[in-house]
Amino acid sequence: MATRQPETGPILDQLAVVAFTDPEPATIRHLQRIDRRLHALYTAWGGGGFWVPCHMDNSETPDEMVVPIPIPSGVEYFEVRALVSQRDKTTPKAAKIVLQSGNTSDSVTITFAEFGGGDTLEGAIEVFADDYLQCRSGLAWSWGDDEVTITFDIGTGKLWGLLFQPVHLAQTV
Amino acid sequence: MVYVPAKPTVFVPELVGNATAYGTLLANIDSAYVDYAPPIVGPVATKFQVGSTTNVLVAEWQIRGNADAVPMYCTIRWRGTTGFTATATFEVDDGSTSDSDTVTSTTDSWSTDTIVVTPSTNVTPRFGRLYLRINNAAQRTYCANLVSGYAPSSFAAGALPSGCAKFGGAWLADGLPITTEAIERAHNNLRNLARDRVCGIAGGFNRSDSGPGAAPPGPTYETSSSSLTLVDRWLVPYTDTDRRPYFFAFKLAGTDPEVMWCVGGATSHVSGAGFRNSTEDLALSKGMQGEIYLRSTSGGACSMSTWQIQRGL
Repeated sequence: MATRQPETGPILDQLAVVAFTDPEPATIRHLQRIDRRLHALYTAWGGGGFWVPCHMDNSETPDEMVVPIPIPSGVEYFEVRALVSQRDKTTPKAAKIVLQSGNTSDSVTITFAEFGGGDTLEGAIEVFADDYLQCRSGLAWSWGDDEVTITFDIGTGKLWGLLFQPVHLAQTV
Repeated sequence: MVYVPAKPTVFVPELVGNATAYGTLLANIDSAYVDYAPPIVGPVATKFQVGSTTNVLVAEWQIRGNADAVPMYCTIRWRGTTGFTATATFEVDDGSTSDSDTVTSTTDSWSTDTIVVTPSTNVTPRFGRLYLRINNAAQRTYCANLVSGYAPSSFAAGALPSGCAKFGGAWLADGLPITTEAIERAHNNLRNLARDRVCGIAGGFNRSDSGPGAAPPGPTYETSSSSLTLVDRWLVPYTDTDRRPYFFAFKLAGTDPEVMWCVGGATSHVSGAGFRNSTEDLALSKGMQGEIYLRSTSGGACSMSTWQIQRGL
């Protein structure tokens, strides 16, 4: 058993076409490089994050929404960040948004309190979920999908969008 | 074939051409062609509602790459009205040839459906479109989410339009050397695959309302101001660690529309009706935010129905 780290690069789609001129010296470096690039496609380079615009108001009915989420190969967890705003500056209120994975039932919470920017896009701030959201149980080397339920549980305000950033971990190979 | 990552120490000097590690590497590259399926646009939490018996275009986006015409999916979260038939149509159009498929809903229960379309030509770029309709104009159908991407199902033999070519177990007989052609193909398949499956990182659609009842809440990418109006913001996903080109596309309409976007200290703008594109070299990183502003340079009414940001060429 060995541990293999995710590969972040190189920028695969910007590489030049490889065309050798015979005789090309035989070197193991070629295979090493191909293998690293292949692993990059399957891990951090190929599985980047994505922004999900929501424009979800706490007063919407129903106050929950289900978002189909693609899961990159090699990924079980997402780091989730949100862009939120809140009204009612004079009466401080906490707000809570809960995200739950349909695949694993794992959930994370985004909490925020009143802030001075107002309940506007201009005043929205970035907040982090309290943990990584597990969207797949176990390792798979192909793309999958999940349905994440977003519930505006407590409080007032707007959820302008969510950043789903895959967490690429070292894997046992 | 499933991707089998090599141990970090497997490629060492004096590896022979018929070794398992070498064969697995080539098989893994073939597997990548079927496994690599990033989203092109979305996921987007959309606000579409339609009460029309004819197709209403609610979302349109650009599809670059996919010269190999692998199948493409559009997954939507949607519902109709109980007792009536709502229809969602996903279309892939290269400008002269259009391919499409549909799903229907006869209830007001939300469901997630995936429509898969295989382009019938290798012409690029293309446009993806989602249409909605319902068979009674007094009723409505709703779509709350959309994500579209690639759904490759197989790796055809021979040299493909993308430049990829399958190994299919070639060059692995006992005693064969590791050929330069195999090494070239391995390098170039990965490069060509990454170029042919252009990956979306952010995007959005204006709300769409057609039919009876109140307009849905949601983004209003519209203004009648000649001053720049903030219409959306986004947190930047971190993808590449170095400077690279990103593709920005905006579909604009109305009177003298102009979009300005800012991200990571860079600013640019496009103007005019229709899809307007821009490619910028950027070094995006964790913690950056992006902003999109809209205005009509003459103070008329204008709108932005689509914005897309992709890792571009």
